[in-house]
Amino acid sequence: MSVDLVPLDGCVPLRTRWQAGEPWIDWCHLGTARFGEPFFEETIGAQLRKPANLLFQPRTPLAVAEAWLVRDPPVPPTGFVFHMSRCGSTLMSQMLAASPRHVAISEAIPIDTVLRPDLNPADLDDETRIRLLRAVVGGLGQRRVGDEERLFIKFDCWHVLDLALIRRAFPTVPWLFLYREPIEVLVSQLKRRGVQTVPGMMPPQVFGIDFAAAVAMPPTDYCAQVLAQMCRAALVQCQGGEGLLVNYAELPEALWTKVPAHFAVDWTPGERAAMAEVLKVDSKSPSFAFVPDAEEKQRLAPEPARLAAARWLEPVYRELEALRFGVPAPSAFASLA
Amino acid sequence: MQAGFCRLPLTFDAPRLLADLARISRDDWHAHFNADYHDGGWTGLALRAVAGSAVALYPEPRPEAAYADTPLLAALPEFGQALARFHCPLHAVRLLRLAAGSRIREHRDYGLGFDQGLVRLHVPLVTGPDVEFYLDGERVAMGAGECWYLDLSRPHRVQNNGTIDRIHLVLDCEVDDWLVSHFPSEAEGAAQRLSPAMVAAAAQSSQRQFEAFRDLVLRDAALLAPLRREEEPTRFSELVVETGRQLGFRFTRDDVASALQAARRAWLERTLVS
Repeated sequence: MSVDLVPLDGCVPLRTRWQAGEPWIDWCHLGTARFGEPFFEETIGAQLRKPANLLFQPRTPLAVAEAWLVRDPPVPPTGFVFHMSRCGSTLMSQMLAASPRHVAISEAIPIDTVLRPDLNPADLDDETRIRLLRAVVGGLGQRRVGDEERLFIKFDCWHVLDLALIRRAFPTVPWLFLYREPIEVLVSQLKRRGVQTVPGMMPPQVFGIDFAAAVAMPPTDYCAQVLAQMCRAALVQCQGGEGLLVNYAELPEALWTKVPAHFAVDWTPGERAAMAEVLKVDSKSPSFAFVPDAEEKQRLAPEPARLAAARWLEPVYRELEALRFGVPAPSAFASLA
Repeated sequence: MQAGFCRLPLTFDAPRLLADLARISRDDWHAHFNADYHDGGWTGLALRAVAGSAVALYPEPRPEAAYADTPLLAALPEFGQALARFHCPLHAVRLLRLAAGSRIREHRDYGLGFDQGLVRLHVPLVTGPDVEFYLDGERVAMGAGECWYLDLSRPHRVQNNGTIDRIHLVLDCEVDDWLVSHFPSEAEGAAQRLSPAMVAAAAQSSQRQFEAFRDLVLRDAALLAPLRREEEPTRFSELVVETGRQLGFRFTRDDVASALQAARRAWLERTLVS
């Protein structure tokens, strides 16, 4: 299959998969539709209601996708957003999506299929994974309308565990990690579970936790450990001094100040106004008005959640906060006081 | 028992059974119950059914005791002998006729499976190379007089492109030791799936034609553009078949429907842990 034989114009990666030991990319035609919905899969799902998009999904080996991207260079990534879940990342990606010259991708399935260990051969080498990731990100950054200038990618929360590899793939792209007061995240997860907090939905191996151990512990503890693993991975990477730490409490102000500064961009007055509009609605359900809930989450926290948050999450949260403020980290014993 | 289908080591004398069937007048064939999934050319006869049931063809999940031989079976001695060769308890037993040029759209039959203790076997009596049976996207070529197990809880469809009616004897069997002992081992099953007859049948199937057409379209932006513009499902399917026909590909709307359904499933099942 040569690059001339696959018209990929207007298509975006839908998933990566393995066929006879070779990596392939499946594509979905998006035309000039924008990634305006809160999540990648909502944008794609709407396109898949068209029968042609179900029936005719281009499929290319990795090398063909790479050749095509060389021929039609995409928008390079402007900034990456990592997060611990339930901490304002969708608000951030929706604000970034508000500008017509921005492409803001939120939790793209094909990025997940590249990074997830359970969807790939156990012996997949980093070089191939990096090639796949670059091809997928390139496909997502394709100039489908023509006026796209910036590409922001908000990853799934568990991808922060792959941060070292992602930085190898994109060494010059600035990135940030968004996090939030532990008990507020934990209460949100217990109220409505994300797949990553349920061992049967996402393999615990993703978080380096043994399956038997995962199902043996109380669900609240597993959830807290998963969140802690993600924060710990971000902390380790941030200690190199390259990443930006953003606390949920700094939203939305951070979007006017430190975030654009870190990504080396600025917003026009029109873009800023469009972003401010996003603040009025619930990011994940834009048809509902946004209602602040931090206080309620604190108030409603059940005792087991408080204990789990204190044991698993508080220490790493304090270390993140210390790093954000540039002060020495509290000693490990402080959390036991 | 993971395979979707396999042939069992039981063969029947199809011509002899058909001679027996010649006693039945064409009027005795009742329209099959499932009108949603076929185009009118599907009829059947009940040889074993729920006693006194108004819809004798409808194989409801019930205890075996509720099923009894029908008066029709008493009039067909050859079929009586054929059924006697099944030593497992039999639930519904039917003769199903798919008229020439008719089709059964893709569907699943629930309530069947080893885990449910009830499996469905097919014995083709009249069939031919123009009858195309697809299970889970794979063509299953069944010869007259052979006995086949099919996991019909998986998506399946049939099209009779021939000029004669297809007739199958279809038996719902309770899973017992006798039945299980007649299933081939994994290795035997794999060898059978690769039999020359299967490979030949797959090569000349209309689904294979559709796949070849799809590959061609995906390499040709000029062909793709008008297909992408049509968003109304029925008109879209017709346009796909017609576009294929003009390019010399022979496939049907059912091939298109099946491929659409497979793509929908792939999308809906994207989050399932494999």
